[in-house]
Amino acid sequence: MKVFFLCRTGRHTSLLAAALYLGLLKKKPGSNEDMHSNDIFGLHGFDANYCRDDGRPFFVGADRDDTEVYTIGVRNVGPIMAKAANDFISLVGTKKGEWCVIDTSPVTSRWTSAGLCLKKMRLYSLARFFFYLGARRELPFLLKLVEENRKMSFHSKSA
Amino acid sequence: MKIIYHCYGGAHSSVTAAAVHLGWLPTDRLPEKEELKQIPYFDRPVAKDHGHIRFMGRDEFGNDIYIASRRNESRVFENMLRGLMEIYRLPEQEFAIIDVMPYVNWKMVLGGFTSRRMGLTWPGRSIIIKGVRYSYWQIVSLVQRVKVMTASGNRRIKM
Repeated sequence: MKVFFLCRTGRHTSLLAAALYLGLLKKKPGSNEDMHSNDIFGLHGFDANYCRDDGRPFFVGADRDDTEVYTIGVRNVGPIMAKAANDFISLVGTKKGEWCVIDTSPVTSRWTSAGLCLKKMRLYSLARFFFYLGARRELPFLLKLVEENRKMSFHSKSA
Repeated sequence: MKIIYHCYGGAHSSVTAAAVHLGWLPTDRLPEKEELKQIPYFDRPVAKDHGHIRFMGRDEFGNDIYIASRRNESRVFENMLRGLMEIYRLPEQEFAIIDVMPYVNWKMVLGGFTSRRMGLTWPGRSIIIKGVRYSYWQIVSLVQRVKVMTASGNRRIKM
């Protein structure tokens, strides 16, 4: 199975979701412990240069069930590219339930969006601080999203 | 082989190109108003349909012709499809992804906005038809290049 997480850059919200999916970021739901910035910035590819690679899937890793997890940067057309990706994958003959496209852009916090603006203005340190704040804000929602999709994919596999 | 014509809304230029490719529109004269109106999906998709890849028909060489809408993100769309092709190990010569946007003129933009966005179909459609007729020979030329290039095996189409 292949899972594609979509967000604006493919290197922030979607990468966090992919890391949660693969268990690279561990945070128990409801726990009060804050995630350390090193955990987030230590993720391979987090906040890496992305402009040239917009749209190109980025391989994050594979889990024990051989589920390959990718992120895709889709600018501000997440729902549209999610439809296009779904249509294209089904068009190439992939069986239903063998892939999953999850648009994480609704979860993207304002802090992350502000960080992207700051990065464009070349204020990198400040941008990274905003990304950290954004990631902290997004993590509970992403955990929920990932768990829901994991359950759905489990059901579709067993069906 | 699968040929995907894409534009902003998948309602006018890509549909016209696909119709020319499938032989539904003449290549020796300008199409009449009624001929354009009869094409499936011509001036019909709305914003919620954006992103879908739709099958239009099969040409005389057995190629499947599709249309797609991707708003203003042609690079993201093309990168994503090419990335997915790599992930699913699909040979590049199996697909041609053609951007029809360079042949869109201001009449088509204005007509498309009036008809699709504002919902004023009657005035918008007549402006679009004028626009399509204005760019028609350019679209025909594009389709003929696509046909030649896909037939001769030169799959790297850069328009």
